[in-house]
Amino acid sequence: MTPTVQGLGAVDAPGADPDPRAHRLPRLERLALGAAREALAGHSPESLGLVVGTGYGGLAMTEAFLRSVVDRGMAFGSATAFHQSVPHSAAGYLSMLLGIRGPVLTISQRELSGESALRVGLALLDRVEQVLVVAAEEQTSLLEAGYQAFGSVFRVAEGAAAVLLGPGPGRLRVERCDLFSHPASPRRFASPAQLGPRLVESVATKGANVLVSIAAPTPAVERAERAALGPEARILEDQPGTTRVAFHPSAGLARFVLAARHLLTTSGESVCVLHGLALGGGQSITVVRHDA
Amino acid sequence: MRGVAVTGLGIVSALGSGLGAHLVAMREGRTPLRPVTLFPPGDLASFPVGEVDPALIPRRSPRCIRLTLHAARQALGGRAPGGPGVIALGTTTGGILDSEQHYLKHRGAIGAEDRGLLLHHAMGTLTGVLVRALGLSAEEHTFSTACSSSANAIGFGASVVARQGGWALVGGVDSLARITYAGFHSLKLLSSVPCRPFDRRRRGLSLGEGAAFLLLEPEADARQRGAPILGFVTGWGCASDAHHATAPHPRGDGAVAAMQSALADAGIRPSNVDYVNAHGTATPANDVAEGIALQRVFGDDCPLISSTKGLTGHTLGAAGAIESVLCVLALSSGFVPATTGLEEPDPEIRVRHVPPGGLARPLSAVVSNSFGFGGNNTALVFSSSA
Repeated sequence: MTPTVQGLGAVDAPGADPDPRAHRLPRLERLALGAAREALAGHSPESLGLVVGTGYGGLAMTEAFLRSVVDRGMAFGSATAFHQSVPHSAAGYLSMLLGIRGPVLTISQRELSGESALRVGLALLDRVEQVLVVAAEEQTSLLEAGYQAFGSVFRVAEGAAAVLLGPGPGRLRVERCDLFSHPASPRRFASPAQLGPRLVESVATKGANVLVSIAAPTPAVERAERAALGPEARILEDQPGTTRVAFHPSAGLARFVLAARHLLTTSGESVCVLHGLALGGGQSITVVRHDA
Repeated sequence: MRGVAVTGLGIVSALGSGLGAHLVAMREGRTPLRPVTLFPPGDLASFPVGEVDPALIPRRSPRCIRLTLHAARQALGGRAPGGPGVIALGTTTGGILDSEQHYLKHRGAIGAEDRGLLLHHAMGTLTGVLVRALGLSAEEHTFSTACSSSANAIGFGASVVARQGGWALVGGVDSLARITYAGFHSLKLLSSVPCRPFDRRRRGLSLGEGAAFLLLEPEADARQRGAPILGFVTGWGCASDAHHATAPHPRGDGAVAAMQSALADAGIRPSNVDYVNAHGTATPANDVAEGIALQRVFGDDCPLISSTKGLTGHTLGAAGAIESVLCVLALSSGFVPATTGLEEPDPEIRVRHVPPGGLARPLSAVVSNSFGFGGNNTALVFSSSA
């Protein structure tokens, strides 16, 4: 059975959480929790797994730990900052706060962390009835400076998105989520020649009424995507996580949530192809279909 | 899970490089754990660690990349698998050794950042390195579930091969780093002497480093190309404690669920298991909780139990992969390693320890446990037949 989307959530800032245990959590964890609660609203899954995608994890807590070592010495590192610097920290806290006792995983796949988490989440549906996929990234000065040092023109943002997957019923079906690799420098995206064929093929096979959400992490890559698709393509404009809004490494899932919500407003059958790209040559194609 | 053959293994750790070195070390049971030399411990004591011999990984690139490529090349045996495949890698800290060196050098000063910071800090960089250096074309996934990272990478990769065929290069890596050295000290979990898993006098863990990879493919494909089959991945189970950020559930709830799920996936009963390679970190809390979990799953008919962390140190995200390779070695050689460092078994942990010196015995099914921060629990089952 094709997996269906049973809940959606997206936040771009941490909100107030009803659980007092959440109040002192790091920003990344609170972003992830906000999106997760939104996607789970109205659901009480019996058999639930969780996959969290994050490109850089608790970068702020990593810096806080290193700062404590620099300021006070190796013997005086902060225990709290240490365990919250581990990329799995957010998933661990979410499992505690949401009572998730099934498989709980964290994926960190550079700028395709959201897509990779979605792919793993779909596979986990063989093992549990529902899977909550969450992608989250926090904005830190280190992340911003690091991207600038790559010579890219990223405007770094933060946010979290969540998708609750299940076997159905539902009007939104995830038809496909595939990841590919191209040989590329770790500081570069796939070239136009590398990214074009997969993107064009994925759109061409879906017939009419196809929307496309392009990755557009930089203006140059955006031009390459638009050139590959041609002038007739129906591209969702001003998507979060793209260079026109602001970029963060886990924004692929945020674009998925926005596209899914857009499809739900349409009256007939419609399809969205989501294109993802990562530094180092990663590429993803995700297809979500709305049944009338 | 049926028909997922292990056709290649690669491993590098404080014990050396390759299967031969590790089999000898398993038989000898001598600990290589020594005071750290990779970086100055500053105002901290020089705790014993499992450090990889620098001669094995000549310095050309970040340490985690050198470890990764060293073990992955061994697993592939000079062959780049064709057709669609999966690379699933587990790591807790990725290239943190290099990003922390950069940070400590520049102390976070504005304008001092360079390209190395994010380049090596991102965990997902490592799978891209494998793709480029080894000429592979595959979907890439990097699991970072703390100390169960590479166990989950192996389980996921095996489940993909079982479901849709192809091949999977699965494993994990972690290098020693200041952040984990100082971090585990901050949690008061480092032992001042080489770790003693399950021992009454155990005082904590000893860190290690290394990498290990397994090449997985459908049994039919392996037989068709005449590849040696070293064992089978037959079960993967993972479950969460939903209990505490760093401490295990006191009754091992998540560990029990993970082991039961893995056994169900393998289609075997607890009594079919011959040996369990325990997580066995030698921290007071882990070993007691794991002992209770083993009792709850296996009852009085407990299989042989040992921890190999006295040999390798706790290699964090690489531990699941390193211990999986040791499990496949145990299956294929018929030798069960003892727990190095265990002299006076803790009476509170009522399991059937492998006797000192190890045991020669044919094995048909073994379990490898890996647990991590955030209440993550993973168990894998390896079998001698599909």
